[in-house]
Amino acid sequence: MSSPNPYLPFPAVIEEIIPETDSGDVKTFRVRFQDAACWERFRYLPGQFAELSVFGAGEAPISITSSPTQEEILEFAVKRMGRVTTALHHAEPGAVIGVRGPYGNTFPLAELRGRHLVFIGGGIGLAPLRSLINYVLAPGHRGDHGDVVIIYGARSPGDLVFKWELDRWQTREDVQLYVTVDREHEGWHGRVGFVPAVLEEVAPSSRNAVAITCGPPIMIKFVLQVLERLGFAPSQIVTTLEMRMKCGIGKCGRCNIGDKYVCRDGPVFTYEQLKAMPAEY
Amino acid sequence: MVPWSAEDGLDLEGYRNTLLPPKEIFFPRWEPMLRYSGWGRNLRWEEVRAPSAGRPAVLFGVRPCDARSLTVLDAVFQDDHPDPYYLQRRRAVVVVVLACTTPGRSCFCADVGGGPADERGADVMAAELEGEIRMWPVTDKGAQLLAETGWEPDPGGRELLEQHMQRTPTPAHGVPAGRYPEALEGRFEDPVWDRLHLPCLGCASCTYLCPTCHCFDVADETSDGGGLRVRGWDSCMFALYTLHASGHNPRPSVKERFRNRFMHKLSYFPKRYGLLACVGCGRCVEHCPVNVDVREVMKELVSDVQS
Ligand SMILES: Cc1cc2nc3c(=O)[nH]c(=O)nc-3n(C[C@H](O)[C@H](O)[C@H](O)COP(=O)(O)OP(=O)(O)OC[C@H]3O[C@@H](n4cnc5c(N)ncnc54)[C@H](O)[C@@H]3O)c2cc1C
Ligand code: SF4
Ligand code: SF4
Ligand code: FES
Repeated sequence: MSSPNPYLPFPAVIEEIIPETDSGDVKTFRVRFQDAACWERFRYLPGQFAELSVFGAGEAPISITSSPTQEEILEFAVKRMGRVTTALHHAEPGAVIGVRGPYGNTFPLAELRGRHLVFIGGGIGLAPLRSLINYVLAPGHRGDHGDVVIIYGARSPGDLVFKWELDRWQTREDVQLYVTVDREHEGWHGRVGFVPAVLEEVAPSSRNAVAITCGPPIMIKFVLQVLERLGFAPSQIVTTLEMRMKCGIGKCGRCNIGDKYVCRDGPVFTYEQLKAMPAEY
Repeated sequence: MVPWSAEDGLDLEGYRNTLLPPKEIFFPRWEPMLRYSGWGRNLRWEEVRAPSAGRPAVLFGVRPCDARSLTVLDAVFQDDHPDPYYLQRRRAVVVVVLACTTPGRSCFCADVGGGPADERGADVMAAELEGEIRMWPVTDKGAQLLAETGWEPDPGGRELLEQHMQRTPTPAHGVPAGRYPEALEGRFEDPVWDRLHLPCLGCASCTYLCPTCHCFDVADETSDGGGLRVRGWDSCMFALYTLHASGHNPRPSVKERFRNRFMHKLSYFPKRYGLLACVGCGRCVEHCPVNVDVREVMKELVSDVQS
């Protein structure tokens, strides 16, 4: 039994749990491998995901929201949905979970070099974007890109995730951040309006730019329409897809869209690629 | 497939093929993968193997279509992240393929690029010719088995089989093989699926019996103080297969699931691995409760392209 077993998760300890939303349905988990040597085998890039194990409940694919440019800690923002995610939400700091990966492709880092970047996120869809945002904002990388525009929205102020991170991005002069909520709320003095409407208003130029978007399907649908109006070609639009998954490594057959496996060929796709795939996601 | 010992004797009279394909020898219906115990800070887990894993065995009488299905499964399980459970079993088992000197009525291996004397996937090839079993090695593993058991390799067997096959009807039903995946290019949105799926009950018998179907589910089975992470066969014919936790289902009705099954076998898999994922064994044809016939589906799609 000398060959590595791709189904065997590395043990990791939950160091910190950050409640994100007011309702508590999203929490960020900061985890560290028990054995530091695991880092060598877990070299990841923005866009990739991991399979998180809560033994007894099962496994779930979760985007890595931390950036490989930060210290040796992994972060996952998890929305409570079913068995595994609820079990995770019940975990306490100090608990051991299993982590295997990293899986999937990455954001097209080479193609993003020298470009203006427009990030458009909705709800927990900011999680995979955050990894890339912090990657491009890292000291050694910021110079590789032009403008960085971030448009992020949620239903209500209480549904915004990573508020601590938004505050940090807000203070940077080399970032244009627009945060919006769907409807007026008491105590909210920021923008009000749906993400696609804000995008239309901000109207970032499509020249030499790439838009990277992730969020609920309905938001994506309208964001794509606005981006097309702004002149973004399908190859200039990048998004991530979700399908139900089990293995994460192209074996269990579950996550196919046509001949593509989201776990192997995705989760990151350009809109151009998406258009060539059957609309079965 | 049943365990066999020498006292049992061997009567091949009337043997066409096994009801279940050989995949379960390598990819069991239910298989433990990991064992866990403890809780919270004291949680532990480790890799486990079923007692049957890695036990040396000889599979005798595997039909050429089913042997070829092993090359399909190999492509998946040997891919970038090799699957140690499958590969351990695969290494330990020698496959003796019995050529089909009298093909069955639902067989159509020749339509899908195989044949009743196809040696792909075989370690040893055997044929019952003139009332006698002739055997010759195909792989080193096969040669080793023959040497260890004292069987004289029979180089003349292959030629004799070829001669016999020339006098035997070919198991084909006029489904042109070379046209996949091209035949299904652009057929995803075809109205033909609206009609073809209608009889299907979504029972998944076809996928469980199919030698190339390999989809699995993974689940944790907890008992006192610990448990097992196990995998078991699953099927793309089930609604739950693709159901997201949000309630969204990308393949919500039988139509999408039916289409996916055939598109996967005839288009998606060939595109990915360069192999057709139907070996023409005819099991799904024989056992579908409502007579869905993969051959008819294939003809429909291909003939439509021609017209
Ligand atoms: C590439 C990728 C990245 C993701 N990133 C995040 C993230 O950063 N944060 C987050 O909160 N959620 C993310 N999700 C969604 C998350 O995986 C599901 O919400 C989660 O699997 C639900 O599991 P559950 O056990 O709680 O729900 P149940 O409904 O009890 O699901 C049981 C099992 O079904 C599977 N499953 C169910 N729904 C999904 C789904 N939508 N996607 C994949 N598998 C599913 C899982 O194997 C799960 O163990 C991501 C999904 C994918 C595919
Ligand atoms: S065996 Fe027949 S009825 Fe059952 S799922 Fe397959 S095609 Fe449908
Ligand atoms: S699809 Fe049907 S005929 Fe083809 S290999 Fe599977 S069970 Fe056999
Ligand atoms: S999750 Fe198993 S094949 Fe993609």
